[in-house]
Amino acid sequence: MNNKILDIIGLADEKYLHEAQGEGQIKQTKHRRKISAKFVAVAAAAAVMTVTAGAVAVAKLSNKEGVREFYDSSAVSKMESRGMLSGKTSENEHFRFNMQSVIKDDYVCSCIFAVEPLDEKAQDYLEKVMGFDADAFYADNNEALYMSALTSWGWKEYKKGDKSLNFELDITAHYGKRNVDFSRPIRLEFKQAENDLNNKPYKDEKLLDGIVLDIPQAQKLKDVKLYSDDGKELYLSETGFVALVSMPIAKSEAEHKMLVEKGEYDLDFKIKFKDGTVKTNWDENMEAGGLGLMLDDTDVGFRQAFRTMVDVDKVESVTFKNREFKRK
Amino acid sequence: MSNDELIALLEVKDKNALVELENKYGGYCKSIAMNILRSREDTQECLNDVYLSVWNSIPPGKPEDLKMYIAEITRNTAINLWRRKHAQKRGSGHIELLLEELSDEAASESALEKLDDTLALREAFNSFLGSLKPEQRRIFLLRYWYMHTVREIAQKLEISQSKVKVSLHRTRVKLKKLLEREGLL
Repeated sequence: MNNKILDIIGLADEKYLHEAQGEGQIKQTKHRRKISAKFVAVAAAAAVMTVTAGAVAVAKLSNKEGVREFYDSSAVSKMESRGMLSGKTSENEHFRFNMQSVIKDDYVCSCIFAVEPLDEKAQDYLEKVMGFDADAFYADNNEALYMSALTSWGWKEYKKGDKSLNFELDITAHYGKRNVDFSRPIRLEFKQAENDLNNKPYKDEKLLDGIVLDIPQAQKLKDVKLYSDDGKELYLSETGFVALVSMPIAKSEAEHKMLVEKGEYDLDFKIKFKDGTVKTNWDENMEAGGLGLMLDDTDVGFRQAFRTMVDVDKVESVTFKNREFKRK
Repeated sequence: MSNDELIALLEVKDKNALVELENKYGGYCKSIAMNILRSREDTQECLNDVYLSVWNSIPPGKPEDLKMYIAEITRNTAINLWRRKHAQKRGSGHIELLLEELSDEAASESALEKLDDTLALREAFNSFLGSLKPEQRRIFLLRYWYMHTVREIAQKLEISQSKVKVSLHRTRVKLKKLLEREGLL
């Protein structure tokens, strides 16, 4: 049995080990965003699928519960006034998928779904599996999107009787040298995940057959590019930022130590507004998760999401990884 | 006794250092080793090796964070001891269970054989840890670094066991993505 993975885990930084033991400050946010039980996997590029006829229809939005789980009330209001709440649904006899919002910037197209179980089978599935697989492809020619383009962010645990299960699905525009063209129509076809939460096979009852949704073209979020003195770039949109700052790889223990001390692996951020006010990741609704981002096949950047919408026109600078990124 | 004073004793090879080390960190090291080995006898054997390692490594080493330095030595020593014992008698103990959890989701033996750059991996792994939410990170490290049981973690963090399991599952999925990105899968 493979046990070298224990050695990898043994490489954890001391600050995280202190944190795990409950020592020092541990950040707690009131509204936590979680990774979903099953990340939504895209089929391999070779497996281009023919779309089956799904019951796709535009329905009147009945609620914004899903969106409220991921954004604060001011952001939800802004999204509503700017037509970013979708209300597009696809359903079969077991499930109704309601795509509640679509927002996009240069790096991410983000959709929030509320999934309603319509029968006992669907409830059982949600409780035991709590996730879906999906194929994503361009609707105009069925070309599959690349692996890793999709990341899903999860929700509260589903219990039988709950009205819906909400999750956010992010499509990343860049992964290494592979790009997703957000100007083309993108179609999602959901499928049953093969395994349940205990990683045991779940009976395949085709519960998701016909659940297909085209992502509507969305208004792009306002954005701004900021620059550090050493020429690095930070892309800031209303719901997050992408720092085009590589995570350096140390070539020796001494270099690694130096990089830690320099704060190269510190992911805290600070936003300074033109009126002098400051928001940091420790402020409520500012921090909603972050992910490493492949900028090209060797370089890694970082994407930070907010739980609120920031007025980028009022931002003077963003400080991240020991650099202050300012307007040119 | 402060850590600086303890290190000073080790540097001049004063045997009182070992007594002070045991007084200060003996219980902590014991809990780490016990979580891994689940045997009083093996734990004691492990701790003897830990104290010897600390004695031999300081100087020339001068750790900034003595507690974590000893914790890492304890974990590595305990895992090595477990590997030795495991080679002698194959069982279905809790480490096997933990490895089964990880091998399902995380990495293959052949892929891990490719690893020859520990520093690059350290950076990538810590970047991965940094991308987790604090609670998710705590649960992951309590399970796979400190090797607590799911029940112990649930009690420590005052959350349900199912929440711990779900969180671990999600983190393993993310870890799998990291290893894929690093070309290790």
